Amino acid sequence: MATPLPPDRRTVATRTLALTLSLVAALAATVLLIEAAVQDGRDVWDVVRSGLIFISTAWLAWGAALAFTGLAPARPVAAVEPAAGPVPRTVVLVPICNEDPVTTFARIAAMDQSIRAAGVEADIAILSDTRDAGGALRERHAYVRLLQITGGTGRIFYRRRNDNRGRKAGNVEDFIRRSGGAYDYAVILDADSLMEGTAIRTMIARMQADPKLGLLQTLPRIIGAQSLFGRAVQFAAAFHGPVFTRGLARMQGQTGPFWGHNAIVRMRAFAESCALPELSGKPPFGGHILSHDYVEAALLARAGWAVRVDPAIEGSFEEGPENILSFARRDRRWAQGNLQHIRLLLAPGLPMWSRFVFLQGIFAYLVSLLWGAFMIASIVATIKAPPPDYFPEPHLLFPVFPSDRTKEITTLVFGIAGLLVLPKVAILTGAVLSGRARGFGGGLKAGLSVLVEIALTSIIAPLMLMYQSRAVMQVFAGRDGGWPANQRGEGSLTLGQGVQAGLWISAVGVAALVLVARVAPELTLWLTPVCLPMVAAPLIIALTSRAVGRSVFVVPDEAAPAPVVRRYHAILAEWGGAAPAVPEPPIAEAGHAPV
Amino acid sequence: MSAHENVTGQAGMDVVEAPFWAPPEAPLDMPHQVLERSAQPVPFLDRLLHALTPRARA
Repeated sequence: MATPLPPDRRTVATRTLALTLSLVAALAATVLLIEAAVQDGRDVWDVVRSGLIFISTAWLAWGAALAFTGLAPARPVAAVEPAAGPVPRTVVLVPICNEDPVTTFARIAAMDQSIRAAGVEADIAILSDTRDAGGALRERHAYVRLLQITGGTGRIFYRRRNDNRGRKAGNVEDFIRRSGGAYDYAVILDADSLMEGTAIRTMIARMQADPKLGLLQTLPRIIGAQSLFGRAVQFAAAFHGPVFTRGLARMQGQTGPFWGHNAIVRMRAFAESCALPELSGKPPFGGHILSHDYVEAALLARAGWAVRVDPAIEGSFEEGPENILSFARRDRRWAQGNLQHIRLLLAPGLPMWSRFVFLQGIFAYLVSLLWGAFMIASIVATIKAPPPDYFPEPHLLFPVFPSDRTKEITTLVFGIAGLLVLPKVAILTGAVLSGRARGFGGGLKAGLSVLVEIALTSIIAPLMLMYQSRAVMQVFAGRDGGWPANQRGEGSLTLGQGVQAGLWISAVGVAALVLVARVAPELTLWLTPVCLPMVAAPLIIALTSRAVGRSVFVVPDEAAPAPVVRRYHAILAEWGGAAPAVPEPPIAEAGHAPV
Repeated sequence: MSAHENVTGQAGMDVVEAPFWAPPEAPLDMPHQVLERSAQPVPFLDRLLHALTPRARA
């Protein structure tokens, strides 16, 4: 295999339609802005604003197009059963790095039970990159406990690298180089992943049924959220996520995404295509490839393998960030990783769609900077605008008042807000009509959750704009943020922590409001929805991290947790949520040796 | 002492061939992929540059 698979006609038509609609929406926004701007004369700032609004609106419209593309329900697909013949050799890979071993190994124990209950034959390999010796010791204790309760000796493996070169991608690569020949398929997970054995069985059957399929990605549902922020993210992922992902699947076709976990890969395809080189130069743009998953998906597609995402595979879970700071920290890593893809836009042999996917990932972060630049350009344009000339012609008896620009600007604002809100309203309508809303507490409760989620997103958006803009500027300034391990289980933040993390945003918000009130008072009202949340950033950060009840943001997994989630909680309770007391293993590490 | 006892300090479990914790040895080749273009000239860019460069300067 060496030639990328061509997209089918349906995929091409979907892409063309979505791209056309995005460009039309962007053009409409630009025309409205130009109409509003030229009334006090044209200058260079109007040109700058027009360019910025075109790009930013096109980006928003593209997101809306994804949702609308996914609105139509998927055609029912006959369940694929494992093929007759030799049982494929499968391994579940769990790369970990400085994680809490108790929760991580309890998840593995739950998955092992679920895998066996589903009649799947699969090994599990825990691939540790933990650097801290104490943490590594706790992992070894947890591993021994894991073997005791699962009887997993000989099928659950543990090894720790002395050198964590290449981070997670390097960790998986190391496993494949040493042990990949023993397996046909690898299910790649994250430390916080949970997968039902039935989901793994389905994925294996799908790989068997389609020899060209190199990677199959599932849509993990977020579970276990407690805080207002975490529950909003959890709800959005469960309610909107499947529709957006269905749209993505239709748009991307066989050049689909890889999100780094909760996916199955064909071992041979992955080994042949996905060994990542170090990029020349220093970080943040050189060195190890940080957002490796996008690149691996592109490399599989380059080698002629199909990469697909299927949101209909049930039983795939992960945990999400519990507060804005955790989210922003993760976003900092992703920003650097995605911006690094600028280096790969012209990589040889990639399908055009893979390059476009890189471009989308880059834009996901650049767009914050573009919106900020648009606001600054609007303020400057207003300041630079000449004062109104009430008597443009000599000897006029009555003054000529300049045209009111409110209509165009209001249309523009509502149009842009509509691109954000309409897809969610459409998803809600679809959920009510199809009965899917029942799992979210019924139509009314789901509607209330969507409203609160939109309101919360609007309040948080200026903060995220600031964090993302800072991240992008840091990366372009050459600051390497590294790839620190996830800090999972972070809960409630105090107001002091909110002040520490958000005071600079407050300062920017206050400065912007004062400046605008002085130099362009007519813009104050328009900028208030952006600046007020910025001023209140510490409070918002602290309040949204507080645990809330289940009166809003109800998701189906709370009322009826999946069996693997119930197993996980039971095992965790049995382990007491603390490191299991096992005598210290007496042997030392030897080179690459695991224990 | 069995491999398991060696690791855990615990007796009473099944003796397993050591090292029971390690994944099977079955090496698989992973050729490193090329992602960066070499310094070789790209014909399209060369033609573009040639078209854009005034002949007098060339």
